[in-house]
Amino acid sequence: MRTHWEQEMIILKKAVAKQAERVEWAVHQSLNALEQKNVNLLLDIIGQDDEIDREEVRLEEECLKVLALHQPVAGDLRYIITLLKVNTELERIGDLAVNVVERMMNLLALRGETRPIDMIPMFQEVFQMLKKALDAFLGRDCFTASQVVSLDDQVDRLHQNNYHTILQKLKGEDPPVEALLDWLNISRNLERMADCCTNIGEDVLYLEQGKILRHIPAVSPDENEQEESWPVKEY
Amino acid sequence: MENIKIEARNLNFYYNDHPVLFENHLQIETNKITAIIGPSGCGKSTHLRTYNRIFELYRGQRATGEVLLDGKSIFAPDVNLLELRRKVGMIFQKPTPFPMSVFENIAYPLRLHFRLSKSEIADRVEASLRQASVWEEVKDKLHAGGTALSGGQQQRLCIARAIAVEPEVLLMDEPTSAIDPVVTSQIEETVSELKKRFTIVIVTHNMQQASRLSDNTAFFYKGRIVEFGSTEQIFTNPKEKKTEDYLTGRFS
Repeated sequence: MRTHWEQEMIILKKAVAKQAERVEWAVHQSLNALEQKNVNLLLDIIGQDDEIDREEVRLEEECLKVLALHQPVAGDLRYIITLLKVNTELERIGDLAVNVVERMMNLLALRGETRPIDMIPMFQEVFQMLKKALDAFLGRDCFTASQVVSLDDQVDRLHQNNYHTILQKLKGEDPPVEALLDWLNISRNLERMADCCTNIGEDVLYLEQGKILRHIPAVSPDENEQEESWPVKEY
Repeated sequence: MENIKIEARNLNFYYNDHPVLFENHLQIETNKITAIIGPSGCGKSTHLRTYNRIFELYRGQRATGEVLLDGKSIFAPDVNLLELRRKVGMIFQKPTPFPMSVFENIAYPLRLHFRLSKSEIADRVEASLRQASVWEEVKDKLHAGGTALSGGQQQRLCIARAIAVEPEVLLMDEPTSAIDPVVTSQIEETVSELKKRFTIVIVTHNMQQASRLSDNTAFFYKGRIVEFGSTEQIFTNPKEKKTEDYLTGRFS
């Protein structure tokens, strides 16, 4: 057995599990902050992001070191490549959580309560996806990874509904434009988090099956129709 | 198949009565580099040595089954062994220059196989040394002893000697195992260039060399071919657990 390799892997697995914990905390706390309107919690989440960023760089350096020193192949190579990619996705999710938090702070600073949509279900859906994606990666579980990939459509639909609701409100009389755009931004960032979780799910499937499953066209004609009706605007 | 240069079919091999290869089936593609990997004693070199029947030089060694070169059995009794070994050249682990000058190392087999004028021989010697990427280093000492060259130069001299007689296949049995990394890299470059003209089969213990150099890889274990496929597939997503365990160093 390759003792050095096994030791490196134990250290890397612990480090990525810790990073996953930080990111999961950030997303979970942003959900709590939304429910509680807690500014201090929002500031904590922003503060934690620096640590996530630093850890992302450290993990990447560790992976590069392992690649250079051990020149892994087969399953070991796929694991390191997957770890590098998941590391990037985790950092992105951390950034997206900060984007959400910044919009929330802006909303709290605005006068009056404006909640045109209930964002909690979408938040919960994304949080569940994140948990499943991390479980799939840490447990190298293809079944859960496939579940994560299939959940993405549901989050897309929720975002699409939010978009149409907010659009209607913007067309109404004297709309609270700034607040509505903040909510739309939150919805968009949550949808991107779901995309990152989907990427993690696909990375786990690659890790276990050795096949790259990204960009395989959707098979359902209904889904294609839905894609076409999707507005092109980006916020 | 048209692009198959060598094919081993149901190949078995025995040292006296002791079987060491079991029902090997392998297809070597034309103008490709095929790497044979596996733990020590798994039969890699033995398998390779059947491709030009060089094992017959040793008493008590025999093969059964078939090895086809361009679809024709090389085990047939009427096969001209001199011609077979011209077509299927071999490079060994340790450089084996003849105890003669650099020039004569290459000129000697040329005279053995072809009727050539002195100037034609001189041209072929230079061309072969150039193809083996050693010409610049030895052009001023062509008449010095071949054994006086460095290890890396000797190995490339042997490659030049093998390719001078216009073979179709080059068999390499751990050709860089006794050579430092810089010269190994030069030899790998040379081998990659030679692929354009020859079909190459290389036995190696160096996994990185197999992955860098070869198009296809066969993994041998205890005399059997466990897995054969494109090098990319074998090194990124092997199908057999034994291959995965060997490649990742988890062999018990």
